[in-house]
Amino acid sequence: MPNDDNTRTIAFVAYPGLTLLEVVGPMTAFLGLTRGLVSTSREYSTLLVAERTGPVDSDTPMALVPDKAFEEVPDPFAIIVPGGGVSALKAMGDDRILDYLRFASYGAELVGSVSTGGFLLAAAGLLEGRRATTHPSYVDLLKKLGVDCVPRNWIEDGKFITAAGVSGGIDMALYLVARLKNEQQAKTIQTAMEYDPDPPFGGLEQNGGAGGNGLATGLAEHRSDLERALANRPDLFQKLFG
Amino acid sequence: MATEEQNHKTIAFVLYPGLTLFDMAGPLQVLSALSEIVPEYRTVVVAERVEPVDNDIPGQMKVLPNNTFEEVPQPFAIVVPGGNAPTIRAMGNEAIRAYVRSAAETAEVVGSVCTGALILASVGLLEGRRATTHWAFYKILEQFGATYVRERWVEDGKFICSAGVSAGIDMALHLAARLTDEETSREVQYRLGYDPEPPFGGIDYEHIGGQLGAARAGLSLAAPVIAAKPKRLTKQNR
Repeated sequence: MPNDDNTRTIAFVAYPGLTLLEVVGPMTAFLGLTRGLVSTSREYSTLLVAERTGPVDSDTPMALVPDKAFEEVPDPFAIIVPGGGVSALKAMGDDRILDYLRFASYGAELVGSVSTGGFLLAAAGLLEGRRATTHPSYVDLLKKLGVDCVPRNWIEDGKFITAAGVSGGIDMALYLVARLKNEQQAKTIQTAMEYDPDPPFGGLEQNGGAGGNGLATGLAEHRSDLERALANRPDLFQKLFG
Repeated sequence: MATEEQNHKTIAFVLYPGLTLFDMAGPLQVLSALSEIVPEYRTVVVAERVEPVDNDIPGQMKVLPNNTFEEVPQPFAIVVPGGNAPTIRAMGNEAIRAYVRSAAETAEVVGSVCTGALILASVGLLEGRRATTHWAFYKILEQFGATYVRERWVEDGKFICSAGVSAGIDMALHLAARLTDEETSREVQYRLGYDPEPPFGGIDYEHIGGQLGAARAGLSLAAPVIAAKPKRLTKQNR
């Protein structure tokens, strides 16, 4: 594991209930930065960071065991926050996560999120007035935190880059491989990971917005949970659900 | 556990050291979302032991399965992810081979992602069948008597194999529709926000050159050697 002082660290921020594929997808695309075909690169590394290095549950039966604790990675080159649906909203009540996002993003050259990870950046006060995106069914909700939120696959505003969902996270990461290295490198990792997507029923536009009502029902079910989780941030709860 | 298996259709994902994590995460994400909508299904991640498992992402990040092989002897479905050299090693690992062989016997769906197909093939499950794998590894698949088809996913009887890594997502969405219906699969797709737009377009399979082309050529040359040991093991077991 290269740990040169010059290694640029891309820190993925873990919290309980995160969406597994929104960590693994972009990390795999970033192999275009972190791994040569024969050896590990010393130029970039990806790390999963969390409050503690013990296992963190994902939204699947497989838990992730992080590389490092927050305090061990104080000055990453980039931070990326994955989504996690209602779990991401609950994590907005965790001061240690928000403090890390504020502190690490200050010196970071790149601050990103996937899906509802955007809520954590917004709760940390990082997206105020910025153009950003999130999961299509959460766009209106994120606007309530003062974010200029638009439905896009991914969108860049200054050093902030936010993506809509599982595939947006991968697309965004491939774009970043090209920006930080070159387009050839992005195409090489794309070919290695066979990212030649062919969703059996087409994209979401052809999908006719199936499932659009799922969010509203889901949040109503979790209202009291969310109120408890955000007990120390009544301002956020009020803005989002008041 | 036995009751869990009786009450649910359990989809077991086979975890082993060094795997390509995305191969696991893609279909696991899709089918776990399916199980939230249709609770009749449940996903589990099984391994030889319940302990942190290394994977292809450089660094110390590990993943934790939630069951051992013995705890889920007769799943409704199994899905085997792939990888590079560690998958070749897994093809000769008796614990993995034994589990895949016995679970596949009673499972109604047997799936693989990427070079996970080589593990299925290495215990004789794909002989005479149409199948697919990562494009760089197809010669090894053919060594085991399967007919390689270069498609995103390929179904033959209860077997379903996807091409490399991210193809597992598309395969799993298809499988979700097969197990339930198209509308439910679309709901899963929407929940995941899976609406891919690769920034530099798709892949031109006719012109894979450079290091990747060289890697494929090397694997093709080595295919008989790589397949020799698992073939021998399979013959012994007959």
